[in-house]
Amino acid sequence: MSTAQNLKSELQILQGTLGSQVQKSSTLEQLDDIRHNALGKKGQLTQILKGLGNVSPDERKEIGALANSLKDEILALIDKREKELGEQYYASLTETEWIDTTIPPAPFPRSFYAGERAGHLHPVTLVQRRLEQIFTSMGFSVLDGPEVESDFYNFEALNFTEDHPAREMQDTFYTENGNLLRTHTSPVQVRAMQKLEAPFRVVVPGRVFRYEELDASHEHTFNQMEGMVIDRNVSVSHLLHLMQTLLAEIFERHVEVRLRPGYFPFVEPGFELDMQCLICGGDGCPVCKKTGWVEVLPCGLVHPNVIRAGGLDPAEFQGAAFGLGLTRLAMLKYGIEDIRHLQNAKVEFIEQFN
Amino acid sequence: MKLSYNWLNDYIDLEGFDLLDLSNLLTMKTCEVEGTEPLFPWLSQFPVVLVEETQQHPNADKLKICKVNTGKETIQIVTGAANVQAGKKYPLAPVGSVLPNGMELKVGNLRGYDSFGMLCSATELGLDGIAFVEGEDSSAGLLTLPDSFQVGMDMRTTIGAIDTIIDIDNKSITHRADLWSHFGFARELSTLLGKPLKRNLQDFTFPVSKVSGEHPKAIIQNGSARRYSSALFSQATNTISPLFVQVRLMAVGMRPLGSIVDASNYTMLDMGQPNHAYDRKFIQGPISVDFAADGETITTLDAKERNLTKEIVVIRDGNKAVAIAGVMGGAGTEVNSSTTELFFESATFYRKDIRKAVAQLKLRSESSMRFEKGQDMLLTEPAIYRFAEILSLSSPQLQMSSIETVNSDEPARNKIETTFSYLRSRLGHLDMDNHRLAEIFVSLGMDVDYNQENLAVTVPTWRSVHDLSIPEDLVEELGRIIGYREIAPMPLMVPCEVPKAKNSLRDLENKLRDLMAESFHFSEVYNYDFHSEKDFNADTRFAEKALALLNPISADLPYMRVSPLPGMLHNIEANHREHSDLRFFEIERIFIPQEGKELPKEKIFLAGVLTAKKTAREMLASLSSLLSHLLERTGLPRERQIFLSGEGGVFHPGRNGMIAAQGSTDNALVRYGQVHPRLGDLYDLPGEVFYFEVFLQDILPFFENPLNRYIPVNRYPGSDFEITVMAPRLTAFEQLHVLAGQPTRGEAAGSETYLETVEYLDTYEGEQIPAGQKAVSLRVAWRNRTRTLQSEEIANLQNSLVARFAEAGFPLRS
Repeated sequence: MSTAQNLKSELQILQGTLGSQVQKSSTLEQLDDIRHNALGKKGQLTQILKGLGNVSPDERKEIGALANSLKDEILALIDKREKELGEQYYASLTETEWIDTTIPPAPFPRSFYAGERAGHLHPVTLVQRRLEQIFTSMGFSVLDGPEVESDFYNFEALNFTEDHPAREMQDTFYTENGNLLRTHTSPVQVRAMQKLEAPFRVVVPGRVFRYEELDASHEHTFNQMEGMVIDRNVSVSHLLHLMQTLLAEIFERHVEVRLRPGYFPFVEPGFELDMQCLICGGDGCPVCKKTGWVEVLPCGLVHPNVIRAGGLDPAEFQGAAFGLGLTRLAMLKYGIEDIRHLQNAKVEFIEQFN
Repeated sequence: MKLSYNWLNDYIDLEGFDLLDLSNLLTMKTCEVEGTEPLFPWLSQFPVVLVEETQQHPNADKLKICKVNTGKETIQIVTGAANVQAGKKYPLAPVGSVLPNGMELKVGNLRGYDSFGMLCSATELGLDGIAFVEGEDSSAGLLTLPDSFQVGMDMRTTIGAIDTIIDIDNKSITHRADLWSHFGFARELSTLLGKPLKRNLQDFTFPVSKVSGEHPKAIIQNGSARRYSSALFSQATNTISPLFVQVRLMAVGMRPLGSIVDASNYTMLDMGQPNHAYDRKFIQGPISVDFAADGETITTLDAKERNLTKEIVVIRDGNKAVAIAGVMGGAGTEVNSSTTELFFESATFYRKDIRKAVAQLKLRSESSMRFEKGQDMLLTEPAIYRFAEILSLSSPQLQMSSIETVNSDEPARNKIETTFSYLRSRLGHLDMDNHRLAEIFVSLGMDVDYNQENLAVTVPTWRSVHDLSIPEDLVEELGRIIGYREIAPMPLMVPCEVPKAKNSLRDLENKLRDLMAESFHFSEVYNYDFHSEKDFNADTRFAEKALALLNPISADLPYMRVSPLPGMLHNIEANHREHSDLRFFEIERIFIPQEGKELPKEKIFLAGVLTAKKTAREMLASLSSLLSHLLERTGLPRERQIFLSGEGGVFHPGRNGMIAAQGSTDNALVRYGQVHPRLGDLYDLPGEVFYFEVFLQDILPFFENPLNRYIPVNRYPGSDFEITVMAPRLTAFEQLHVLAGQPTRGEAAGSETYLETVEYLDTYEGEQIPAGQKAVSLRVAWRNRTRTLQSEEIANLQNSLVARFAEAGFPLRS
């Protein structure tokens, strides 16, 4: 027999031996040993291949390929066996590490381990709660809506026609089946009109999504609170009063506000509401960029097309609507410097809020 | 959008108005001014200098030593620029000046020779693209200045850049197509300031002459454009633009590209009318505006081949597309340095078509941005004259043909009818007479016809396209022009009969948050709603398929969340290296796709995760105690809770449990346990991690209608019985519990004796008893609401229980 044939048969024998060794192994340690002894630097395979020096280049190529496929095959077998052993091990836990959970627990807190640290609520939760309290005391109901929304509620019903350039303002996540992640809490304006009997007042806190790259001041996931009043004869005067009262409640003192034009398709007229800077009292400082005013929220009278989309007659009912940035308010209130902390649970961050 | 103050002054005299006042005025009445800033302020530091002499650097082949006259003194500058020449003028950055890139000039020493500053290139000055001399490539080496420039004068004054830039927030003028130009803002300021325009649309004109060659006839097919105006030009030279044109283009963020393209861009920024100049000699036949065919292609000016669809409008000369209408011209008809004859297009397209083209081609341009808003049709012709005016400054022989215009639509003027009382009722408190209100509309270019109560307003063309159309729009116009300061706040009365809508889900959330934080010492986290492939595969108990995003924020987060678990494991992963005793909870939603429903089902969960240096037995006991209490506090009393073994899955197969309501044990309310070690490896978790979850919809019925009831206090004592039985090691306590019976508080027992308690006491395994067996001790108690139990009855109850246990294979421990 030629050296080449010798090598080939040695390889075949090795393959058979290793295969059955792997199959018979019953622990991960055994598999490790096989891997090491057979395929390691000084393993059986390397020993066999030392004979390669005595064969022709063509044969060398052939045997090299054979050795490689043997190696792959054995490694695959070891992998498979490892998984099997893993599954067997996991299954065995049912018995070996069994703890009876059908025992009725001792009444709280007798057998309760209270942990090393106190619990804390998320800063956005704290701000949202405070606002919900303020609004409910002002006769508002609290409503929720879906976070995966249809194009109809997120855009169309809010007077963003298909060719509306303002759609460009909204950087939208789309889902399969033609839906999207709501870009604002405003879709619930129309849902509220369809669900509740006018007149009514609602606020809608919730999570919204914008397609934005993350950095210290931009998040793709954040929280807003929509507010809407539907009533007879709602005017800009009413909106002004409502906003002034609201901000006085939030900041716990009298605040001066001003309206200036702002464009949102679902309100007409639409405003940006500015509040006199609380830091400098309107004299101008770095916080208000020396203008004396700080932009707080967008608001406006509900567009008649939106009232219609909600199933009401704009000749009878009008509305005032506004949007509060809950995330932004929380950051302002606590002086949080980086928006990424909010969705990135670190003990050092969370435990600061009470 | 950036506006140049000087440029605005072409159309309205703003002399005497403070810039801060002007931007406040615009902010309060029109749109958001993001800020004002001086144009190229750094250029003031850099004088024009004359290089008087150059000399080869003795120690370096590529350096020259120059004698430079700054107007004040003669200094030595060493430069490596190849194009420096004695007798030419260049901008100098002197020692101590700061370049726009932030570099401060210091005295340098280049191979033994001092250099007192630096001669600059256009790029170093922040003036990319500027050119003073025809044919000279300003991007190569130093910026060579014309001989006519005065030595010693600063560059900012020299090039006419003493200007201020007003930065307008684009979003705030999305609805105002008329404002996307200097002329448009001048017209707005004319209304706000009550000052006349220096020049209006009808004032644009240019002498028309016979231009040789045929004017290609244009047609609009299938309603693909509203209006198409064009003119021919001859004897144009594509050279450098007048300096003021270049500076203004750069001032608002555009790069000068040669006089023809510059004049075209200038016209758009000046008047708001996008337009396009084609090289006449490449236009083969008559022009047709039409929708493209699916699969048609065009190579655009940026040298990219674009695939068109039947929703995109193109301009064709005969059979081939030469431009994507309103978006970008084609490469084949582009002007070049030898162009002398032009076919010039100034058209109005429908915004819906332009938006589709932009969306489908993912290609935006200054032109498409304007067409998307909705253009005033009456701008097309004045814009051609304006282009001619600007181009003729650098092409003095320029000839222009008459303008040919085809329409497929009329320049409509919207008519709005309303009443004064309506306008007043929408604004609220308003102290102003009807005549004054009408005057405001007139100042906005409207025609107003009114009497005591009714008014009919005809809106000018430039505010009629997707802008003013309903009475509410007039309310806004009035409000902003009057100023909202004039409107007094008024409280809105709440009718007493309006009840608030109850939101018990929110009440439940609040209750759970308080319990978790205050009673159980968990901290609240917010996690993202996005799942990776790994997150999705980690837990498919609630959905076999996740809702996929078409445009995920990153390719490795393609799904919407289908399980609370991965997020919570990430929370442990992010904290366990610093802390060993962690407790987090989250109340959020998972998204379950539903066949045949438009929207996925959003299930609100409460989930918690914890680690501690306690045994698994202690942790599980803690968790079941916590969860039992949580259910009790939200409406499901303890005696109605059934404690079950878990279903494994994401949990350690021997260490997980569930709690269900009595009577519906198939639907567990709560699942909890140790996280499966497989997930521990996958998420790089420390030792043993414990997890639980509750879906709020499942416990809401109990919260809304709590089963907790007051039961009168039983005055008679009960009878305890402690018993220890033998059982195989893996016997769940539940089996003994079922044999003992479900305890009650005797509310329905009448005079019957009832089982009041089944309490687990202890388990013993060890030498005293056979292997594979355990001894379980429990305590039961019976009680009666009408009497004290008699010893005979007690003995019967006890014997009967012992017998039931024995019969089921759980004999008394001997």
